[in-house]
Amino acid sequence: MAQIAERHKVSAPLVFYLVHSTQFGIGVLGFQKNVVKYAGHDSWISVILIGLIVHLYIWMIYQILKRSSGSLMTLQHDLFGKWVGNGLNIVWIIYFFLGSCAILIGYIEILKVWMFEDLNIWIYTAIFMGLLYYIFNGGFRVVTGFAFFGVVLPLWIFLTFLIFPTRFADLQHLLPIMDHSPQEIFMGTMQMVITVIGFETLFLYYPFVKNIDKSQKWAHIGNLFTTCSYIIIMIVSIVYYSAEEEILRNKWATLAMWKIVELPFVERFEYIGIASWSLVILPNICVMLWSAKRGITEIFGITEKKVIISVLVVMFFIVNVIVDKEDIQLLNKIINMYALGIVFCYIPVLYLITFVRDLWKRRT
Amino acid sequence: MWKILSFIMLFMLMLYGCLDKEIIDDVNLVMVIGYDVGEGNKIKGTIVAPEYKKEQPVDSKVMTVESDLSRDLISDLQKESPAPLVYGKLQFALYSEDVAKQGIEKYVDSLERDASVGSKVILAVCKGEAKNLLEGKYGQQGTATYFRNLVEHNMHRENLPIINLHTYLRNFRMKGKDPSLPLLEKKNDHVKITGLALFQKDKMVGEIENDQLFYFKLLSDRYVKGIHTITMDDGNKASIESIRSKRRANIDEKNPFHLTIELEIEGYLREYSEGTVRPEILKKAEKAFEKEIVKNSMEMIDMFKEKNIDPVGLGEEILSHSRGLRKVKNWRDIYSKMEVDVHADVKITETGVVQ
Repeated sequence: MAQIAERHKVSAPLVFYLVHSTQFGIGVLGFQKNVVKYAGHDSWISVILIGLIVHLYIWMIYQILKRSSGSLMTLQHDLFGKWVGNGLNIVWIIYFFLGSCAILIGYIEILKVWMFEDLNIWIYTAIFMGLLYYIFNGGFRVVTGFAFFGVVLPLWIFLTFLIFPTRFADLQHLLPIMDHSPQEIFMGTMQMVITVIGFETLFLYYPFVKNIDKSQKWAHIGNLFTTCSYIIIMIVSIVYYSAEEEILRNKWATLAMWKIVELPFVERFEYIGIASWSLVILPNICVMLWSAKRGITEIFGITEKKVIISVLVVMFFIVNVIVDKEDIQLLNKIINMYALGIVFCYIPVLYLITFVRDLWKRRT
Repeated sequence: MWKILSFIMLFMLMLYGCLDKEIIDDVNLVMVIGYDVGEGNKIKGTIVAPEYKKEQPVDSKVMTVESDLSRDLISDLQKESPAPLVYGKLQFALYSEDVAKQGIEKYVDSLERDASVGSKVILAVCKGEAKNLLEGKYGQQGTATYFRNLVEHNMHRENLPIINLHTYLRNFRMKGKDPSLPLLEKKNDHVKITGLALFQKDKMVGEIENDQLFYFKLLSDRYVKGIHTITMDDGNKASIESIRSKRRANIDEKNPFHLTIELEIEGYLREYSEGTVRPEILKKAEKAFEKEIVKNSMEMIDMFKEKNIDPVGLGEEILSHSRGLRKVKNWRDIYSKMEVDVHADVKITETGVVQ
C-alpha cells in the first residue's frame, strides 16, 4: 500500500478527539433504558465494565496494527488472501456504512418526535449530504477538525445534565450497591455495546496518524473520557428518575431530563440541546462514513470522488427509506449484533492470528 | 454543472423554512388545564389561556369542553378558539377531587407523552369543581401565574413538599413511595391551600390538613423551613421557625423491618406569649416541640399504614438498605410489616433581637 503523504496526516493527540467523538453520539440520549432493564440501579457498574473492556480492545487494535503494514484492509488482504480477505473487508465496510446511517436515522427520529413532527426528511438529508461531501473533499484532516469541534463546542451541554436534574435527585436510590448478580450486570454491559462502538474506526485511520506510537496513550484517554461521561450521565439519570420503571418508559431518558430545565430566556431547553447535538453526531457520522469510504478506495482502487458521491447517494436513499419506528429498531438490533460479532468477537481472533503469525515469523 | 447544483442547494435551504410556524403572538398558550368528571365516561376539561391587553391586567380566557380522551380536549377546543391553542407553556394542571378519587393516570399520561410539556408543571387537586375554581379572576398577572406562585412559594418557603410533574411521576412509579399533591379550595374570591391530597398509586385515598403539613415535610423532605406554634405544659405559646432540618433513617440490625427516623431540627424562636425568654424556658420549648413532633409524626404514620399508603417514602428507606428487596414485586407487603419509630432533636439557637 502506498504510504500516506505527511501533509495528509494528523498529529497524535488528535486521536483523543477521534476516539471520543465516535463513541459519544446519538446513543447518549437514550442508552439508559436497555442497561437498566438488566442491571437496574447498578447500571453504572455495567458502564464501568464496558469502559474497561474497550480499553482492552483499543490495546488489541494497536497490537494488531503494529504488526501490519497499513490499515485493517491491507492486513486482512495479506492474512487471508485476495478473496477471503477482501470479503472480510467488505463486511467491515458495510458495518461502518450501516453504523453511520443508523446514527443519522436515529437523529432524524429525535428531530421528528421532539421538535418538528412534519420534518421533510429528504430535504434535511440532502443538506446533510452536502455538508458531508464538503467535509470529505477536504480529506482526513478536515474530518479530524470536525471531530475536534464536535467534542469541544458542545461540551457546555454537559453542565445542564449536572446542574438541573440533580436538584430533584435522590442519591439514596443508588443503594444498595451491587444488589444485582454479576450475570445481570454483565447483561447490562452487553447492552452498552452499541453505545460505545466507534473506536474501531481506528483500524482505518491508523495510517493517517503521525508518531503513531505516541497516539495510543491518547486513544486510551479518549476512551476514559467517554466512559466517565457515560458513568456520570447514568448515575444522574438513576438518581433523578429513581424509579426503574420511569427510565424504562422513557425512550430518550437523557433528553427527557432536559424537560426539567427552566431558564428565563428559553422555555423548552430541549430545542437548544437537540440542535446542539447535531454537532455531536456530525463527527460521529463523518468518521464512520469516512472509514467506509476509505475502505472502498483501498480495496477497489477507485478514485476518491466517485466513491464519495456513490456512498453519499446510497446513504441518502437508505436514510429516506428507513423511517418507521420498527425498521429503526430492527436496524439498531442488526448493528448491535454486527458490532458484537465483528468488533467484540472478531478482534480478539484477529489479535491471536497476528500474534501467532508474528511468533512464526520470528522463529523461521 | 456546479452553478446548477449550488442553485438547487440554495432553493433547498429556502424550502427548509417550510415547517409549521408557531409565532407567539398568533397562538393561545394553554397555561392551566383543569379536569372534572363529565357525563358518562367523558372527561370535562377546562383550559385557561391568558389574553394580553394593552396597559391592563392580564385577562384569562376560560373554555370548557367534554371529550373522551384528555388529548381530545385540545382538539375539541380548537373549534372554539380563534387562534390555535398550544400546550408549550403549560404551568398548572388541576384535578377535581372526584377525578382524583377515580385515578389520574390517564390524565397525566398525555402531559408526560407530549414532548412540549415540561417536567416542572405543577399538579394539584381541588375540592369541588375544577371549572368553578378556574373561572374566577385572580391577581394582576392572570390565573396561571397566580396558581403557580401560590403553590410555588409555599413549596420553597413554607410547609408544602416540593411537587411537580416529575416528582409526581417518580413517586407514582417508584417502589417504596406514593405520590401526594397539594389540595386547593376556592375561598370567596381567592384560592387557599387546604392541605395535601394523598394517593395510593394514582388514586386519591386521603388528605392531611394544613397544620399537619409541617410534620409531613419533616418526614418526607430533607431540608425544611417552616413556622410552627407549640403550646407548652404551662399553657404558654411559642412560635418556632425551623431553619434547618435533617432526617436520618436507621434500620435495626436485628430486625430489618424496624425503622427509626431521627429528625434534627435547628430553629429560631419567633414569638413567645409570656415576655422574656429565659434559658430554661428555651429548654422547655425544645422539649415540648420534640414531643409534639413525635406525637404528630407517629399519628400520621399510623394513618398512612392504616390506608396502606406511603407518601413520605418509608418503604424506600427499607428497600435501599437491605439487599434484594428492590426486586420484590409487591413492596406494600414489606411496608405493612414495617415498624416505625420517630425521634426528634430540637435545638433553638436564636431568640430574635430581644431577650
